[in-house]
Amino acid sequence: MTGLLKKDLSLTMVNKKLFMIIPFVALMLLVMGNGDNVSFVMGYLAVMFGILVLTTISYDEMDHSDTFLLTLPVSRELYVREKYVFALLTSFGGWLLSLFFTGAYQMIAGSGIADWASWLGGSAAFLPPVFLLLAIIIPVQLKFGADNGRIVMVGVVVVLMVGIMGISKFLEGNGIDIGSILNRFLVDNTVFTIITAVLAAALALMASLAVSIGIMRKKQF
Amino acid sequence: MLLELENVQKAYSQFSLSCSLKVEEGCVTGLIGQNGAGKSTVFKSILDLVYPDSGKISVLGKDHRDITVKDKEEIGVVLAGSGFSGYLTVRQIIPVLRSLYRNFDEKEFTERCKKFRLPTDQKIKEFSTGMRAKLNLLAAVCHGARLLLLDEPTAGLDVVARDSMLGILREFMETEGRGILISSHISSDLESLCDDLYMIDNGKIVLHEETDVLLDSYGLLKVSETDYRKLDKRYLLRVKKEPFGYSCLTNEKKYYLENYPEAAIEKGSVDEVITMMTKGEAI
Repeated sequence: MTGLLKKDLSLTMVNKKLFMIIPFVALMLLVMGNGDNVSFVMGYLAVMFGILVLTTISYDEMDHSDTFLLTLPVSRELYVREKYVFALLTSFGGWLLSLFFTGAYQMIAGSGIADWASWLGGSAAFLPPVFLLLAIIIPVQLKFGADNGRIVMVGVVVVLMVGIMGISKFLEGNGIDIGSILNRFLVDNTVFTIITAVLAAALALMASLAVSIGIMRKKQF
Repeated sequence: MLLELENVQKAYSQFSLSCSLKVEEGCVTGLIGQNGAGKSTVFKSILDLVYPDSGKISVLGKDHRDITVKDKEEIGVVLAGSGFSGYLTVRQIIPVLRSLYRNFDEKEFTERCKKFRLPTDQKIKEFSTGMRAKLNLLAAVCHGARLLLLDEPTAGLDVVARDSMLGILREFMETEGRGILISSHISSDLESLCDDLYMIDNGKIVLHEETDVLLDSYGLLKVSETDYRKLDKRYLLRVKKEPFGYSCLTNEKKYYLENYPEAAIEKGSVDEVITMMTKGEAI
């Protein structure tokens, strides 16, 4: 797997400039937003670094390089596992960078950090949604490829949004304010919520890995 | 036995493969056929990149579906139309190969890259077709493989580069227990390198012969219609109608030389044989 990770790191560095722009944009958002964008920057960096894995899959598909990779000491399962490891490493790396940026910003320009433990806990809450996102986009990209994958992802997002809006409207129509119920529940049960989110992300990633391996096993090159 | 395909079948909508072949230790086996004859499907079936409908494939003594990542270290592959990502450089693929192959000979690889004038810091996509072919072959031979599976490895190479590459393959075969399955559309490469040849046409193996036998015993008779009628046809493999009469492929050239001294009999070549085997009619 180390060999594949090295390859993907090299492929990621192909777009060095784009790679550098992501943290630069994060910094600009922090500075120009006067601290209002701290939450956004945390999610933004983890997501942007996490989805770099899609770029590596696209590069693999070009020139049938993925076919060639499978002739090397690389199994279909190993290929898929490496993509998940790479995505987790980069998104975690992005999250660490966001910690550094937002922490430094709050220490220098903000009001400082009074409670480090709760700040770190709050920051960690951004990771499960990112992992959930990865759990959806990796199998989609492996199944449909770079171009069709984007179209499918738009479809998935639209379906999810319509679904959520539909449920929300339905509940509203029946006099249930789901927003305030969720808000109250999340505030009252922070530990439970975090544990649930982490477990949900872990389960989603495991299920996604199994689906991706199945997709790769079926593929013929 | 390094490689064996037993009645491997793979059907597509407009093409079907039906193939049996063997590569023994110490042998270079050639697979020759026209474009679209099924050569790449054979290689992809061996490498589990396409799934055959039936038949048995044994690689390094194991069913090809049971080949592990560790076993793959003993196989070197060049596949027509694919290779390392064009966005990588030679310098970037060295650590990748070092991590993937425990026996990767970095010194040998680097020296050979230098010898073939492959730039280390240039993106592979900027390489010429020949340069890519050289890189793919060097990557396949520099990790102590026992079996090489080479699908059109000399495509795009000029005569001098092809000669150097064939030299590398001969050198590879100097170690005991190794073998090569190689396909090429350049018959002269295969004539000079291979111990035996399989000819594939429309997904079927139409001929398997030792190269020496093919070059010594096969011949092409060119006869008029009158002479053709009188000809003993027992040893004719294929016949093709020509403006002057008939071209006949035989695997008993000596018999016809002795019994029909007036007949025009040409020495068999891989090109002649494959043309006759694919375009001629069976007797």
